[in-house]
Amino acid sequence: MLNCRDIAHTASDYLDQNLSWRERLAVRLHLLMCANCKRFVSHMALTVAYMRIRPSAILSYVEAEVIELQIRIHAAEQEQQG
Amino acid sequence: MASTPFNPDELLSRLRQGDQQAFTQLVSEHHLRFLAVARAITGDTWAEEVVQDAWLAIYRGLPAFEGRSSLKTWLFTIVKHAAKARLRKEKRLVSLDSAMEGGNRSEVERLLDSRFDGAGRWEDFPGAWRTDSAAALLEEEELQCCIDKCLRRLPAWQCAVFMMRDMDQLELRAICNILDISDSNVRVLLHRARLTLMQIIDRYMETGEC
Repeated sequence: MLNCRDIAHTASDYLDQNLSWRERLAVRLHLLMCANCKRFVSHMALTVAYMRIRPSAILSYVEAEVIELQIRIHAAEQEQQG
Repeated sequence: MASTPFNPDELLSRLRQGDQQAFTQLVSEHHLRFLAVARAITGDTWAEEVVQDAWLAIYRGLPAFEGRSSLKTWLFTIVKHAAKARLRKEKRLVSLDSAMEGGNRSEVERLLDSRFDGAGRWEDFPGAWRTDSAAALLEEEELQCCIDKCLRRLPAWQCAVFMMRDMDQLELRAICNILDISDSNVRVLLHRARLTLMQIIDRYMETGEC
């Protein structure tokens, strides 16, 4: 029988569907009976959903253009050298 | 770049044709991600140079990219090869176990454990969040800063795994192959990173601060 601590440490695998069907069933049964664990798992699901849609940090186009230019110059130099 | 970014299909097609603007977009979107992966494999010292080597290999390889794997998987695999090549050149062997904090409980896991009684029941219950919508969380500007700070402080392996899984949405198997680590290691690292970020959101919900 899973306790709340087990559920908290299994939450990530549960959300990613990395559990066997028996383990998954055991988690689901626990979640039906335990409001705290249900909240914990829903918070983790929300964290994952938020991070998936959140605009992530990217390089500015100016910085990216500098890198792109360096790469092209370096590639051209290496080609010239044979 | 003033114009709208290319969508993924258009980007790939333009990249194969050697389009300069498309390559700049690729660099802009992936450079920081590549740094995270390079840092995990080689450490800070060589990460920048590894990513430069990777960009050169990508620039040369793109016209021949056949699409047998996804573009992202192909890109990250090149970063991995560049990182491994650098480690070989420096004759450096990295102990993955020590770099990945081994199998011991991390601080965030110990903190979580402290919230349960001896029988594994909640003593310190999870508090309610004022929203259950990811879109609503996007409106919280201060939270964005807290998350950015947290991502910068995440251990390198956790950061690399988390970015590839939860931001680039790569399959676990692909992440294992790219980082050359086991499925269980990827899952542990991912769980730790998610717990840490969840803790940040939890604190923000409670106090309005990081």
